[in-house]
Amino acid sequence: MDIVRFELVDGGLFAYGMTLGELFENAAFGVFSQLFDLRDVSPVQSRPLVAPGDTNNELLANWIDELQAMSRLERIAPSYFVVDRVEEGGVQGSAAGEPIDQVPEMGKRLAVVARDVEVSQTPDGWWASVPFLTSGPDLRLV
Amino acid sequence: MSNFAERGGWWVVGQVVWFFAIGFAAFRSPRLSNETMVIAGSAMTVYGVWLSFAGARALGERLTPYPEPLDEVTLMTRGVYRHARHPIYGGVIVSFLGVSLLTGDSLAIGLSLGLVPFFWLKSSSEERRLADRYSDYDRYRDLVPKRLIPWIL
Repeated sequence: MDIVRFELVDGGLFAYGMTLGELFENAAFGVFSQLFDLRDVSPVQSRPLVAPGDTNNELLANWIDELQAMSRLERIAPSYFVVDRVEEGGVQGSAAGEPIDQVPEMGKRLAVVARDVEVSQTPDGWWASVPFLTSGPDLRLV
Repeated sequence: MSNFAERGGWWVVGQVVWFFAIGFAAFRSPRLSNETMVIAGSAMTVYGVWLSFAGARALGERLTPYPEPLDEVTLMTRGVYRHARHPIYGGVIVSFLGVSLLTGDSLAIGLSLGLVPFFWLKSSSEERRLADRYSDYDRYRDLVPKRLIPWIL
């Protein structure tokens, strides 16, 4: 049985995880899979990441924000996300992928609406809503 | 001249000389080998040429005969580079060996086999430069253990 990591909904995506770290990994994968064809991307280039935040909502929003910045600056299309630690004050992990110029783009522009990111615990684990805007000419994630 | 040497130009010179030596040996008295060698030689020639072209096509603007990588290009990690780190060299070896088998000339076959250590050393020189240029090269090398020929060498 396939495990659902995320699902697209109107105006964003829902991400799922058994743990908070897994939720962050799956949310990141969901966001970047809207931008790049991640099917054959290998973890060739890896970068450590730290994102600050006091609440889980802030942590996830900042984690995705840091990933966006890393992707843009390092020119990496990440497809592997590892969260080593999530705790009050910060999330620590890494992202790995391949050079942007070698990964097919999905032809979308996307901007995460950070203030509306929502994380909550469920009986089965963790869930997050990650709203984003797509296709606007001035909206750029990477 | 120093720039030529720094870029690994002497490797290119050696490579061209070696190619001519194989060509001379293979075609000094052209004849077809026995049926088995013709079949094996043909298959190897086709595969080798395909492998080299696949590598060159993937490299695109990154393609250079020198071991020194070009400036301001990313490390190629996709296509056939997912299965071998130097597929063009591998393709050249296999195709020269294939042509040599077709002619059945033992000197040409020997010289073609000699391309294996030659390109092994040239790619070692290239990999030192790639590791200096790209901080993730060691990671790529771990992910793609085959150096010259996918799944084989």
